[in-house]
Amino acid sequence: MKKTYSANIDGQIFNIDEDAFELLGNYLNQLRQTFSGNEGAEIVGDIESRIRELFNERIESGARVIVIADVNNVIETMGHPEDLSDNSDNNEKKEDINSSFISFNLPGKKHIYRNMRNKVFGGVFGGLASYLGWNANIMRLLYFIMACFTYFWPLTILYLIAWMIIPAATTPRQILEMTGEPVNVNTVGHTVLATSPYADKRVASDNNNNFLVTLFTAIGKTILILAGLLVGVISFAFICAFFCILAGMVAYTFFDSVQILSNIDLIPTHPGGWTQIWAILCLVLGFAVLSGLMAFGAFAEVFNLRGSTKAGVITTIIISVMLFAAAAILFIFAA
Amino acid sequence: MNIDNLKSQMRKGMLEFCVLLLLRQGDAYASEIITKMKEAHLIVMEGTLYPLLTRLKNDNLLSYRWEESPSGPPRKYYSITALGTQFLDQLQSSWDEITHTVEHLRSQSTTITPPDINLQ
Repeated sequence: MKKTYSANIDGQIFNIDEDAFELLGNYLNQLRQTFSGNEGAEIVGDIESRIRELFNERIESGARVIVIADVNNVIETMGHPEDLSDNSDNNEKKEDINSSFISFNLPGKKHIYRNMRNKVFGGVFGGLASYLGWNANIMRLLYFIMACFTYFWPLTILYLIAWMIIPAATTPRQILEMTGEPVNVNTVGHTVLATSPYADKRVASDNNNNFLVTLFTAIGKTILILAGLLVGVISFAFICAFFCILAGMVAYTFFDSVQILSNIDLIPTHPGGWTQIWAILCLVLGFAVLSGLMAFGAFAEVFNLRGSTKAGVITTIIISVMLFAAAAILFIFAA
Repeated sequence: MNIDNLKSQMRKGMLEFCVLLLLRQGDAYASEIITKMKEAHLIVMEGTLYPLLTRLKNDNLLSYRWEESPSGPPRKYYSITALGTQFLDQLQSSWDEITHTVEHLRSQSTTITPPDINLQ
């Protein structure tokens, strides 16, 4: 299954696969680099309209969607940018074009991404390793040792933050930028073909040490399951506390009974006591939501479930932060 | 000496000539030119044609007009200008010279049989 875009090519709409779209976009960009100026714009426009014709032939012969093979065919018929540069004019211009080409190809644009093809949890170390050119397993081992010495929590939190901040490399362009390879027609085509189901491949392909990888994955999963269970239990406890307090508040409001609330050391008759109870209610609910989210995330990761969307996660976090803020304000009022 | 390089240079030099010859027969748009060239067994990377057409147009050897097409957006029809025809005549005479020279040399080389080489 692939995502498709609809692209307007010289005034005609085509449905085009995501990777094909990426490749075609890169190709046209490179043509624009090769043919610069007003004249260049005209040339690229003409080429684009020829591409439209070629795609149209595909559609008329029954294709519903433009796939990567069609784009590769087009590139083969039209020619690679470096073969097309109009070098019969003067050599100086040719050199100019070539040098701009080389600078365009230089792997200076190396970005950090999470490596989805070399990952245990989120691919943070896989990504760091390709960014720095180190071995991911050695980094994982060092991290694990350091984590042991620092009682796990600080480094775990650091890892989670990195996971959230660093984007995953999913498109061919991102995969190339991650390894610092030049993004051009040849490499993108290569990556696209080599990684067609490019997302979510667990560590295996580019690693020489399979035993270590399995070991790390097993350790990782175990830790995740334990953490998920722990956080899940905590979340459950907070939910129970929430309903306890809620029940106590209902009992006090409607039946004038302080029994439940005073059992958990909350006395509504004290000055500011009632506001304080509201504050605690908010606080407890906030913790319940947050820990519930974490537990859900952990289990979704371990069992490869469809995890929550980014928007969902952010909304949940915002809700819990608002609950904490409400609790803080109420505490101030109560005091 | 790179044979492929030499071959492609020979073809490149010919390309303008061929395009002008084609357009003297009548106006055409880019895809038509490509089809005709393929019919004539002149294999070109299509992408090389567009810069060439633009360059010829900017040198006033060709002109173009937009014409509605039965399918899709309007097409760019190229036609040869008076200057282009002049240019083509010049090219033709120099081509004749070249072919004459080459033919002459070829006929000479075939009459003189290479000496037998005794391998032993």
